[in-house]
Amino acid sequence: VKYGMVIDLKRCIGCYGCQLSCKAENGTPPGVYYARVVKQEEGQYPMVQQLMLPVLCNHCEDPPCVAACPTGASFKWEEDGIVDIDHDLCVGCRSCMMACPYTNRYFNDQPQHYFPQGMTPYEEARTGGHQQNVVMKCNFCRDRVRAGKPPACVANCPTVARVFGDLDDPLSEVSRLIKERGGFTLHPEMGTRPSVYYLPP
Amino acid sequence: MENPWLDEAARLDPFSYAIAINASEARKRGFVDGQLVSVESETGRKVKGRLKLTEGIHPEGLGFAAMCGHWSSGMPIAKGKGVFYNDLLELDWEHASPTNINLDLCVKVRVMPAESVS
Repeated sequence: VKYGMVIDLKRCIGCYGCQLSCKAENGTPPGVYYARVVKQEEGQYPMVQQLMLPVLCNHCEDPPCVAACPTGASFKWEEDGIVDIDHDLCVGCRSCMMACPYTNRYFNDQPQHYFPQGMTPYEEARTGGHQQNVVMKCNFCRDRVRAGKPPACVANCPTVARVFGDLDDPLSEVSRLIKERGGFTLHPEMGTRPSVYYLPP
Repeated sequence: MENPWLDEAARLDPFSYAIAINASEARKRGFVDGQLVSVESETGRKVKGRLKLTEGIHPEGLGFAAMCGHWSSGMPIAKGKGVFYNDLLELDWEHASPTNINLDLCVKVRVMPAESVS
């Protein structure tokens, strides 16, 4: 099994639903986004198109972050290809953040609460479990995936722009979409071989 | 946005807390992206904000995102972010419709660099 995701840029409307559902699922502190949306404009008035690019950890086949980690905290799961971090081993050197060509790793050194009054009960329950001064990143909602559910961003995408599945299986929907619609990855020149594919808008 | 997650999304979004203006029109008037400007109506009502140059808007219009520009200290996340568009609207019977309780939302404005009006 090699889990991967396909993001259909033709369907994405840039609503930030993935970013918000990810916040809710993972309880990430302020400034940490496992999933986010990048926006850009193309063309000139009145022929303009806004391009939405939802980005997340690409769970590369050859992850430069894992190669850069001096303690072995960043690793790739053998059984499902998910790139993950063992926070007990992370010393917060941030080498992986410099190595990642997609800048999808975040260092958790900001305040852990949003409101000036301190942590809300929700934040105590969800954000309080995160270790501080370690690097955080998307892990494809591994707990959900192991329980048979899709990642939160996939489950909550209102336009069904995201599809999650097994890239090793040639009959899975992700493999079919990549083949039929010409799926591409970001920064193929880096040789990282990402597991997150995009379909052209 | 008082919801912190929405506030984060709005801060990552290039348009939410800015005043959208047609790019070529703005350059013609000597404005640059991210410039602090003051938008003043004919009757002297004015708001301040930062410009976002975009191709996706008519040259004779400005784009404000609603729900922004809160000033209450009871809304610590939303306070002081974005532009309070309603400040530009006239609030009298000349500009209100008693039938559907709506205000006239069309305002003729003038954009000026904020430094010159302090």
